[in-house]
Amino acid sequence: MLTGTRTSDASRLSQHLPGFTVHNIKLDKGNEGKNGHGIAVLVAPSCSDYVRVLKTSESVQCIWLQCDKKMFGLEEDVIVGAAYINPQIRDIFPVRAVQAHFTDLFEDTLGAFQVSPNVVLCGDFNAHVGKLSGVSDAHICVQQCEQGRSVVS
Amino acid sequence: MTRTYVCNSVNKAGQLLVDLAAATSMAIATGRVVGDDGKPSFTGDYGDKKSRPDHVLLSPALYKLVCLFKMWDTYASDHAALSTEFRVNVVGGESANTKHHVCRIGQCVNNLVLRWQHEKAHVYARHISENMELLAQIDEAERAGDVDKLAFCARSLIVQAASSRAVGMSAQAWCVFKRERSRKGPLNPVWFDWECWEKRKKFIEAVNVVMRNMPVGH
Repeated sequence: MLTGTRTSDASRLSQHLPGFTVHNIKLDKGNEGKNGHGIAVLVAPSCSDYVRVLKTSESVQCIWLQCDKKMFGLEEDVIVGAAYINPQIRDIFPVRAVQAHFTDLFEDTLGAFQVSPNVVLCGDFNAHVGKLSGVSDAHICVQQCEQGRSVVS
Repeated sequence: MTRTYVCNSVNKAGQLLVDLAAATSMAIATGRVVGDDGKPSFTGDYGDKKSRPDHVLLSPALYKLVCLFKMWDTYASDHAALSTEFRVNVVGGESANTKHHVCRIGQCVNNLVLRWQHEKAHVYARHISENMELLAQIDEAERAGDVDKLAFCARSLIVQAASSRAVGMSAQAWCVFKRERSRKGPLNPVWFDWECWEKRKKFIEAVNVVMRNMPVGH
């Protein structure tokens, strides 16, 4: 996954990666070449038959791909979201804009969960989480998994 | 379920990302998976900045599959490259891309692979719009209510356009060529399964035994 590609031209992104499939968002002409614009996901030739675009959210700069369950050996497909959220900059990208983008991203994520329970969301969120744990009651499954790992080790 | 971290700064986007993870039951893998100690991924053009704006969020089933996280510097960007490896269960899941895969009857149904290339979309679309013969057949099938013929014609329309030299969106599946490239000696027919291999091996061993025991001069 590449963020800040600054181009919509797929051939430029894959010129040194023959056989790779490029999924990218189309930029407005005014945003071509500008910092913080453009996102692409490159899929290796061995996987390209198993990956397809589910959704492209240009307002949030996010590409959602659906990977066939065979790739991960799971019972259901895997949804991969590749996102870029602009950094908070006063007057250019204020807190309200950050909140609006995360709201859109949240809705897209919920949409992804409607397709499959297996979701990966990755990218440059310009999010500094510090020591925030991000654990809530909703993470009981993950906590159980973590406990299982420590028992094994 | 502690998270290791190097950068202790928190911003609005970080709080919102944590809220998103909590609301969707996803885990922020940063500082939690093997190989990730929360190191900064953004170093700036001159290595003078240090923060961690890049993250991977995983749903529980995928979180369990993570086996390794790696981060390495790259001169191509002011961010480090991040990779997350998953432990994938492929036992019994042989596919056309599996090493030493051999096409078997009825398994690799369609050896033609279509790959979308966005930059050739207009050529592809023109090829379809100019294929008057098939378009006429589609109209005819539609008028007659013949669903099977309609589906066949639509499929042919796509395959023909993708396969045309100017478009070039089609290819043969790799498995079609694999036997010729990776195996030495005569090609194995598709019905030559592991049982045949065992019999062939035993036969060669038996012949070798006979040859070894044969008196010199015969």
